[in-house]
Amino acid sequence: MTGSVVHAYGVVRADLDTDREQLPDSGIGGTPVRLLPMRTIAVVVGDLDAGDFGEAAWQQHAEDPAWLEPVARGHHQVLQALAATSDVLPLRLPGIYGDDDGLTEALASEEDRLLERLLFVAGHREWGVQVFGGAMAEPGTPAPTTAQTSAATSGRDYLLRRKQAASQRDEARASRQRLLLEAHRALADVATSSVVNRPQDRALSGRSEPMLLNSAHLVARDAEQRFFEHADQVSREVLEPAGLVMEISGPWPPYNFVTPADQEPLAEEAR
Amino acid sequence: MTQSPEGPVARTTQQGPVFVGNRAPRADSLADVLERVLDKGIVIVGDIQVRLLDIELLTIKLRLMIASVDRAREMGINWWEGDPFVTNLEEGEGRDGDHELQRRVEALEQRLTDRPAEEQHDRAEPDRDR
Repeated sequence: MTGSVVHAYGVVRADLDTDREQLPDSGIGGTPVRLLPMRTIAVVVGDLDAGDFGEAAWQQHAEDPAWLEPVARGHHQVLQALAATSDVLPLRLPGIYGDDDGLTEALASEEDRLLERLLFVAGHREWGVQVFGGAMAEPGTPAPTTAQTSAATSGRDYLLRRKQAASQRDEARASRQRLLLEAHRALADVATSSVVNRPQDRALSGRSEPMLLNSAHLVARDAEQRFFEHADQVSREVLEPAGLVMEISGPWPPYNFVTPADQEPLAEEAR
Repeated sequence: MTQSPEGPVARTTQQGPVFVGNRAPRADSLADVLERVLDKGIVIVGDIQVRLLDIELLTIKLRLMIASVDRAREMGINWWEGDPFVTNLEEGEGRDGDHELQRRVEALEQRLTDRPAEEQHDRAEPDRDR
């Protein structure tokens, strides 16, 4: 043991009832998880071996997926378990601190803001919505036959056809954008707050189809049924006919909603 | 694909399962987990975070991998740009976001290069991109 560092998973209310709302048994590397209470909030932390998970380890291994994946998943699983019974605000990785005092000092000035946010996300869960498309049918490909015969006639025809193909492509794109926006709005309408993230690159998503929409919605539990009905409806009626596939992930702890969005509630904005 | 008894209607219980277009929600993919744990969530800056500049670099690189805006435009998915409703959701990371990220990558890499030699020696890698 080369000493330990404090790893912070997330923030809960200080009055968390640990009899009913149990802490997960273990976190990163199978280490125990404990509660570090402050004034109005408490931090869910674990003590990790400094050699395995400390500052030098992060510097050495952060870009090594074999090291990073279990750390990321261990962090996430603790938050996921907490979110199942209580409200929690996730902390970003790498959330390591020298000791309890260092962490509480860094957190002290944020305490009120975090409590306010905890109350905001209370009773909500985050759902991820991603839309994937097959390769867009390229309307730019000229129809053969007659077009080919005229292809040789003049440069002017050629340019004209190029122009037509380009405008068809623009139209196809614009129409796909309208579909994505319509789908997004149908879901945002039911959500308390919504965030549009950049689509993940294929290198990250590991999929062959491009991701066209990458969003997250904070949905009240009693609105989830309606949220899924909307998702199902736009998926079948709007996206699928255009060859687009919607996938839902979740429930997630409210990773995307730890700070207020510019506009809340968004449902009001959409009207 | 199996049709659920009541047809393709979304439903959920408190813990799921949820079906949308007859698909259950997928398992948490590593990409989704990494996007969230490295790029979302609260940042509480302590001493160690200040020293872990290259970890910020990692998260910025990850964000750059979350499709550059130019590539998104190529794919015809610039729909957030012209729409004030969606542009608001972008939290100011629209058109110029990549330039800002690139600038931060460069600034951070410069700071890493400038760090005192004793902090560098244990992580010096000859093939590291600069």
